[in-house]
Amino acid sequence: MDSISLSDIQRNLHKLNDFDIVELVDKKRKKIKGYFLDSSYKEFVEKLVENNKKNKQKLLKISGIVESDATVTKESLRDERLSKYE
Amino acid sequence: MKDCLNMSSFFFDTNFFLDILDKSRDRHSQANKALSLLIEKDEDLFTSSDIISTISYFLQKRLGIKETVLNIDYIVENVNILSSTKEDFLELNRIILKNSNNLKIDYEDCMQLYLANRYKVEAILTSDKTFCGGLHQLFSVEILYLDEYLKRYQNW
Repeated sequence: MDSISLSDIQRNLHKLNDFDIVELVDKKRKKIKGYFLDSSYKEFVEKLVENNKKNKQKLLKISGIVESDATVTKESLRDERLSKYE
Repeated sequence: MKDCLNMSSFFFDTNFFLDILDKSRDRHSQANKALSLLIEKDEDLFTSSDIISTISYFLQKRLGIKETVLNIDYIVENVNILSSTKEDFLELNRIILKNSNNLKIDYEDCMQLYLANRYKVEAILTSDKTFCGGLHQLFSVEILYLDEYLKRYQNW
């Protein structure tokens, strides 16, 4: 993928016009800061974000699936698991 | 301390998962509310592979393997899973030995804290008021208690 430095963008913003997608790099810290996408991808990105949000809702399915001993703690679970090896 | 309203990445502790999963626990509705808020805000969610193992043990004992697998799927598809490497263990050991004045620290909790910090997660969401006491000051990740998180939202 093409990449462009943050300082390059600051100096020559118009360079972004040359790309549909480009990696934004912080050259000083040698880190990828993110990605630039042309605004023509707006609909695509919005759909992606929306789908991601819808999928995340599935996480709520785990809520209350167990009705157990309310006194279970992570320590008691650890002890219980260790007892398998006794 | 950064305001939790401005945070965008959260690490779930084992207790938080237990509170979510088990409807007989006192904090179940609180945890459920917090999870709904985090999903609604589309925050970045994290936990560790160790925590997933513990949770799968808890579920399998109560639900059986098929239900366990289904629910672990829901978790790992929507929560980022962090794992420790050899270097992480060595680095954590070094940190603990250097700060071993607090003998009550829990190694497993410390690894969760270390991992969350390493991956630049902003807060660990837990209901454990003693979570890594004495060591968390060394890291930039915040320890955020479930009740405090919800209180902050109610006051907003």
